[in-house]
Amino acid sequence: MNILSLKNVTYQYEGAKKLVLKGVNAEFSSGKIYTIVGKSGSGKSTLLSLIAGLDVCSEGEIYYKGTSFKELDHDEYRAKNIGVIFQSFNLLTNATGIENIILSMSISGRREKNKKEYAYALLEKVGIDRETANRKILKLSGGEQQRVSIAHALSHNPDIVIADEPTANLDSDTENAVLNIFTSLTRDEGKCVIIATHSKKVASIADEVWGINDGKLLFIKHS
Amino acid sequence: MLVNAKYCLKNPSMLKDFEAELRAKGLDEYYLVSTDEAGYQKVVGPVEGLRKISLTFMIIVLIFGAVILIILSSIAIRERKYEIGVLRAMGMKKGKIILGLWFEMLIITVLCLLVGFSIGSVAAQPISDALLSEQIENAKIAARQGGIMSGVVSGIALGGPVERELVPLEQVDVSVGIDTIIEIAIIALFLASLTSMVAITKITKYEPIRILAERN
Ligand SMILES: Nc1ncnc2c1ncn2[C@@H]1O[C@H](COP(=O)(O)OP(=O)(O)OP(=O)(O)O)[C@@H](O)[C@H]1O
Ligand SMILES: [Mg+2]
Repeated sequence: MNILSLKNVTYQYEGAKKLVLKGVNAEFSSGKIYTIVGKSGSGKSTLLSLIAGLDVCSEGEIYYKGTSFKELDHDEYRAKNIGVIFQSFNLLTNATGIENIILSMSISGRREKNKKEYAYALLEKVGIDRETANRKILKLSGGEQQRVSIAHALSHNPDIVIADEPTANLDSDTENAVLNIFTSLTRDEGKCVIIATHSKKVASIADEVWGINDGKLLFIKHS
Repeated sequence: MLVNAKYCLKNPSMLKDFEAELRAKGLDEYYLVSTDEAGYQKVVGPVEGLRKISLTFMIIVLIFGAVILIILSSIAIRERKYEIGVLRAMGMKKGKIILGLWFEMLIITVLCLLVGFSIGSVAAQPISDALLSEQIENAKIAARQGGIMSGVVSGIALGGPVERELVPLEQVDVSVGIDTIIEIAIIALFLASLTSMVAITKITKYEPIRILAERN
């Protein structure tokens, strides 16, 4: 069964005249990487925020494992089932990386014996050492923030990982490391990864590439 | 023969009853029952003045305080809008965030109360002493100005010597009782809760992405 189904998803920002999304239909399944491409302003971030349960569709419906979002507890869904890497990171800037991750683990109700060690290990995977992990987010570079944000999104072991331009601030070595994490998440852990990106390189790791144009989501190609 | 008897009553509101009681006990209409208004004013006037001043102050402080409190807590909450958005995005429940912010507000209010009470307890006595002595001065000046006019009328009726014996209240004990402290604390906590709740509920009713979008 598909983990996520979008049925006729339509979205309009409050007070805006134009529809950003016009009847989007799509199916996403576990163990696959999807990329969504499209011009700047085409609605990629908007679509991801709907999938992430951060906003609600103006029309249409989204189903998670067959349950409509209308019947789903959005807070619970965000806390447990989905990890989001935002275009603008959205971390608590006055807290350290490690604190952000531990907080997110606590909210999701995970009972790791040693949350801190788990969080350090996760950060190490994206190339953040302990010293950096204990610095406030404010005092990290853009790329470091991005990597903390990636670890943060994975910290509660969600089924779905959503990423909005996850490699925009990274050098190509770090980018490769991050893309390897995404690949391993799908191949080894069977997660569903959806990435919005402009980068050809990111699009190249995808199982399916979709594009947004004029509010419609169109299938572009298989890998 | 001039008979002059002087009674001291605890409270000016007892005057009517006192006269009624005297008459009932058979005091002849021939005798006048009169009050030493000027003497009373001299003794209590300054304290009355102090009371008026503190009442005015209290009203001003309450009104300004409430306005400032509402503005400050709206600003404080708005500053934390982003934080609220992030926590909501992580899936923290609205209620939990509201409780957390409310709790924080209460702690701050309690700290402010402690500071306020400490400063108050140290400063209240000197301030009230200063205000009171000013009031006494004012009363003296007023008495001197008014004295010429009223002197003839009241002076004879009251009998001269009385005035010299009257000394204004020079000491007011302003220590605050535990009841008053509790009352003030409850009012403060209630006001703080009310104002912060207004601001908090305003923000948490949005979808998380809206809260986040406003900053990005
Ligand atoms: N809060 C908002 N209110 C009104 N319009 C908005 C709001 N946020 C975004 N939009 C508009 O919605 C459209 C889609 O925005 P979105 O952020 O989804 O684009 P995007 O594809 O992610 O672009 P980019 O590649 O630049 O990140 C844009 O035209 C944008 O101006
Ligand atoms: Mg975007």
